[in-house]
Amino acid sequence: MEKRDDIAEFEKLEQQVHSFLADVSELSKKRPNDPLNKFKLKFINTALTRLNKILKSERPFANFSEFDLDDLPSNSDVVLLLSQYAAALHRFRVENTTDDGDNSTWIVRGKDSGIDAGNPDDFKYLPK
Amino acid sequence: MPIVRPRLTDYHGILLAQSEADFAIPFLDEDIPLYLDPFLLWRSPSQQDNALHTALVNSFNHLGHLEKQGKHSEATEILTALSECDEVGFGHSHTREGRRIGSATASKIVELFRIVPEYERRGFVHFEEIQFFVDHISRDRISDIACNLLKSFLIDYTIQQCRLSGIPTNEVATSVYSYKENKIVTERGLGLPCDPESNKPLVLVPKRWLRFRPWLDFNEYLAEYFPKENKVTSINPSRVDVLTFNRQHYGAVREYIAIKERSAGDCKNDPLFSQIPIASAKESLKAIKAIPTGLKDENDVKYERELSRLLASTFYPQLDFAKAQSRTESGVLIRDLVFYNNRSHPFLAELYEKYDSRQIVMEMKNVKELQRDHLNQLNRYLTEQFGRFGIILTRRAPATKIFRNTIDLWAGQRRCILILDDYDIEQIVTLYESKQRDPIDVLKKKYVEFARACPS
Repeated sequence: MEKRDDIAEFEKLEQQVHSFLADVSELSKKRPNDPLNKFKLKFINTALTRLNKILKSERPFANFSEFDLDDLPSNSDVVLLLSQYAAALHRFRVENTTDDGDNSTWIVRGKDSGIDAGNPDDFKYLPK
Repeated sequence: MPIVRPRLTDYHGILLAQSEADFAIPFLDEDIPLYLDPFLLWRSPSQQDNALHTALVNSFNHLGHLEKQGKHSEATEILTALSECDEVGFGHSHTREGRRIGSATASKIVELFRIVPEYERRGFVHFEEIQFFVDHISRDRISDIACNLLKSFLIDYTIQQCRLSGIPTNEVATSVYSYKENKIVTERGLGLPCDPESNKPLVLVPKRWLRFRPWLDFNEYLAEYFPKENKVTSINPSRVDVLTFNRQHYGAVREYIAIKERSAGDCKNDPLFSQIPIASAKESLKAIKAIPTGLKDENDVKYERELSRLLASTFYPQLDFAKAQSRTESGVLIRDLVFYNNRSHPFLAELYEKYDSRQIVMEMKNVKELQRDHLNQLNRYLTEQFGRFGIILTRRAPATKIFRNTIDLWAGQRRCILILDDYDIEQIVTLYESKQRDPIDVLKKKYVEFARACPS
């Protein structure tokens, strides 16, 4: 983590990705090939763009930054990518927190920030 | 630059989709296949429409007044003049020029005011009832008489709509029925749009007054309401028998009118274009996928028929369907779908600006493999009238070398040819069904893919 401010931003976006993934998964179960509408895509893109700034090289794919509205991504396409992001977020959380055996805290610029992070496994995305 | 099935607005380069216009956009070389139904004015919630209907019927009943005064020839003369309205162009004629009724038919109509006691006493409430008593009176005739009697209003409406949409007008003279003087007068100096070829004036009509079949319809009356168990006519009476019966038994017609008036709430105008239902679109897609490639068993014709029906619906309202047309080139029959480009979508506006695409042509090729010749055929066609953008609809994704050819065409001549296959058609139907995105987005997606492959 680069800045202390990124912690709150990351935690917020992490939850957003999880709920997007849960919602689109529902759509995808019913109609995997239907394209997701522009309204939903715009919000997903906003979250991904902000996450990319925090994740930097930890992004799941170097050549994917956000969805192209013109490519008509389908529900299952979006689920696929969001699952990758959910996994990357978990990995990022594990790598950027330290556990002294008692409680887990965030690491900012290589040092223990003392900010409580909680057990990373409690923040893992669990499909419904 | 000639365009296919030109409409007034396209001719003047005005961006107006039919779905956004209040009036039916006239075609320049043929008629709009709908008719003005006076019943729609009668049942309209608008006081203006009701008042116009009253004026219309009053004008018609004035003919009865003339008849009763012994001015039979004056009445038939006016009616004959009213019986055709070329300015509005409704019906199925391909020439936009209709024929007036003969004096014998006009005489028979005017005589109704004497023969049928009800009309003699109180005149008509719905003048379209004349079709139940006189032969050779069909929906187009009713529509034309109504248009002529309302022409003064329609001219004002046309002037107003032309100002709103920026349609150019010329100062012309035309005949108008004068409600005050109860006769046809010539009005000069009217600012009306004109047919660019013939210079004849055109009059616009609100969409909300148009129906395919009139609400009071002779055929419906005959099939469902005509008392067949009467002692006068046979079980299967001829049209003339029915007309004669009606003249002597006005009650049968009156009953039909009363039923239709009671169900007036169901009387709605017909849309100028109606999309096929989603279930039909899916059926169409299934049918298309099942058609084998090639010309055998008229498979190309079947492919063309299903595809035109499907695409005309799925691309509406962004693209108004113009025509499915055929042409031959070096002995090969080529079928095209032509759409008007109203620039109603940013992508369509881009096509117009970059490629001068006033109409979008889609060429259908029911072949196993797309060849370079097919591209060349469309490419030659693009120079003539369609700007530099075209689409080929075919069964399978093209070979890489064919796709490269389209890129080369862009690099060399700045022309854009997109190739859509069955998979893209499937995606169009998916979008049409799910309503999450517009089916036209598939075209945009293909265009973006094409643009990415082009050398920068």
